[in-house]
Amino acid sequence: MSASIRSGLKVVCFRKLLIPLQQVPSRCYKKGLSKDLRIQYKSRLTVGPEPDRHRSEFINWNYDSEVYSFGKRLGEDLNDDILKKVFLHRSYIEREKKKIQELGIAVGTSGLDVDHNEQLAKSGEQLASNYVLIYLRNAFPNYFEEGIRSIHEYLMSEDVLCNIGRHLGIPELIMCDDFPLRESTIVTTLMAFIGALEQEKGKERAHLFVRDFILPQLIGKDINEMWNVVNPMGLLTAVLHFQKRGLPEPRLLWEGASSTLMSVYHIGIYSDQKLIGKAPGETAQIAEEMAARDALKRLCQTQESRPALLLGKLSENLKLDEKKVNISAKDIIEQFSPKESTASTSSKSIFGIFKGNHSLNKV
Amino acid sequence: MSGGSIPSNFLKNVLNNGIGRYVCQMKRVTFKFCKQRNDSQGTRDFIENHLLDFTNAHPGVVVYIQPRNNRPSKIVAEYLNGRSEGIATTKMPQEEICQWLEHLRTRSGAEIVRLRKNHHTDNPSTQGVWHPFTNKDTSLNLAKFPDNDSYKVPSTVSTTDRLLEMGRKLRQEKLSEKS
Amino acid sequence: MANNRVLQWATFARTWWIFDANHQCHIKSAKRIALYLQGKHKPIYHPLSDIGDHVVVINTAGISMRNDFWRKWKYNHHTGYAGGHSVTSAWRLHELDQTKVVEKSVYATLPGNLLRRRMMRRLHLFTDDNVPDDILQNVTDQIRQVTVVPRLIQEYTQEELDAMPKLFDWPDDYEIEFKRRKEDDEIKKYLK
Repeated sequence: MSASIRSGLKVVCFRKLLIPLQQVPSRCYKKGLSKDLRIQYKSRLTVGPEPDRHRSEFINWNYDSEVYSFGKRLGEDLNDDILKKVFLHRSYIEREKKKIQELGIAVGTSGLDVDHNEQLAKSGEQLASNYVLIYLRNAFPNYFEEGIRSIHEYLMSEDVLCNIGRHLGIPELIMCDDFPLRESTIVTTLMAFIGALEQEKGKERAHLFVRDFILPQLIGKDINEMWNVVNPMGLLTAVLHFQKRGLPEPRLLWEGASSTLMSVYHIGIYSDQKLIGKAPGETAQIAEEMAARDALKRLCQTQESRPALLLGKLSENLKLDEKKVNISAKDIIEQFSPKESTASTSSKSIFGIFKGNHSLNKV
Repeated sequence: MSGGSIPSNFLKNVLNNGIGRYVCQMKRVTFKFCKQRNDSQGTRDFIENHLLDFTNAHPGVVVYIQPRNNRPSKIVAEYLNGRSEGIATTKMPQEEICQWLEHLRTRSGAEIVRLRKNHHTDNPSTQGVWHPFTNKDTSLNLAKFPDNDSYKVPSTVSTTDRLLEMGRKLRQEKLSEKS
Repeated sequence: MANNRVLQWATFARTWWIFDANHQCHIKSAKRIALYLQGKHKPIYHPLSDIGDHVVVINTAGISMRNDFWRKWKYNHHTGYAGGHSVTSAWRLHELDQTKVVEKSVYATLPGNLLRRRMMRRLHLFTDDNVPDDILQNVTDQIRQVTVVPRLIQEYTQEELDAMPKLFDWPDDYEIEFKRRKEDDEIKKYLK
């Protein structure tokens, strides 16, 4: 402020002091802020990311309530002690025992003689596996046993079960040694829960659990792609021979743009002059293979247009035949001897059907 | 501005939820509020009056109450897919908090993004998707092109032929009259 | 997986059509051909999908125009250089290149967007029945004609002609003469 206006200003200054100082937010470009932000960013990079913490390390955590809610959320009425047993792994008990030993206290007095969930997990897995097989055999009565096994393998695979476990809120409740959690641990806990259900509530309730959580994972998946048949034409020939029907005859239905790269062939497979399967393909060979697969799908009644699986409300009064046995493709092939056949050209490769498929790898 | 700059997703259901049994996707909810501030009055009223009804009705949801001095109040909901959502409940009356809690409880935990399609189906076609040969006869396979006879404009009787026919009839009538 | 791949291939497969242009109106047949080139005959049509089919047009030499359009219809062309404008009658153009009338009709009927040139590449024109084997091999179906092909006088048998009632006929010694236009040196250059 210049000297010339100082006299007038004295009064103004005095008045200004009476007014309480208020922080008025400035609407200008905040020059210093970007500098601070840059410093913050760099320091964050040097420090590194936030460490992975278990949920229990946060303040809002009560293990008892969490475990109780877990049971209630899934609609199951189980005791807290059995639920806690479900989540307790052997590795956790071993770790605690070690700690106590290091401290010098005797192990017997610590109250750590609780059971872990290994037994429950084993029985749960057995039940789930068994029920899945029974359900699949009843859902696809005409499908081959090998196909049923491959769907079962997909459903009981670690990826699928771990995914289910994660979406049910299991990982946070698990008491085990390893952090970050291994997928197998989550799967074991899920199986232990099923085992606990069987123990407390009976088989029916456990079956319902499997039907409500594990089996719906088939929705949207192509079950025919799970079983890898290397030579579908050979298998089809064997099946038709077993059913005492005419051997398969592939015929060209339509072809288009055959001399170009974008050629398309539609091939139909006939047995006794009746169409049993058809499919398109980029070349005649591919179309023939796909048509054989289509014919097999129709024979096994696993085609895309099959009725939906009975789950949820539709399966309330479902009665499954536990002793159902599905036909085995291997048996059919063994019955079909290549020396007798004359019409089929693919007879030589029948024995190569399960090339590399003995381990029933997931597709 | 292209559609790729703003995140979008297709409609999804978490683990085929309703097909087997319905599982409430909200696993825990935390009420953070201040014991003194006016902003949190609604939250405090809610905890007094409505919270126990909620917990009794939904035992599958763990409720935590976290009083924090001089901090704004909020609700943080955690879902089974690992995500969490927060609602700032400052200056909200207790009824509104009830509504927001209900909103959070019935959510799937998925991120709110633009939905590319309001529907989703795993089996879009039961009769099979159309292909160029869907309604075509297989005799096309054997046909030799160009096959001119079958692809002409469907012929109708021409005027010339009609006149000739009329003439023939008249001649016949005349002949029959004569005889 | 593989099944879906194959089904998708079949749905988006490009079909080849053949069209006999003998005695067909060039505008009407262009409308039909343009429909197939764009893919509008398919239920999966979308303008950006590029699902148009190939069309093989044979006997383009026999394409027809209504009334006296052969004489009156003019095709304009400008080379882009100064003094490069030229006007060509339809009959003249047909003499020079017997596929051009069909080509220009189809080009004009197609929507004037960037896909037009691509669609034109899928149009195969032949002046007569002689189509190369590899193209004929691709053809899957034929497009129905648009104009009624009248019976030419050459197609009537002598008996039918005799049986046809006549009002009068030329005397035997009458000479029907018509003047033929002199052969142009300019046309000779192009017709080889």
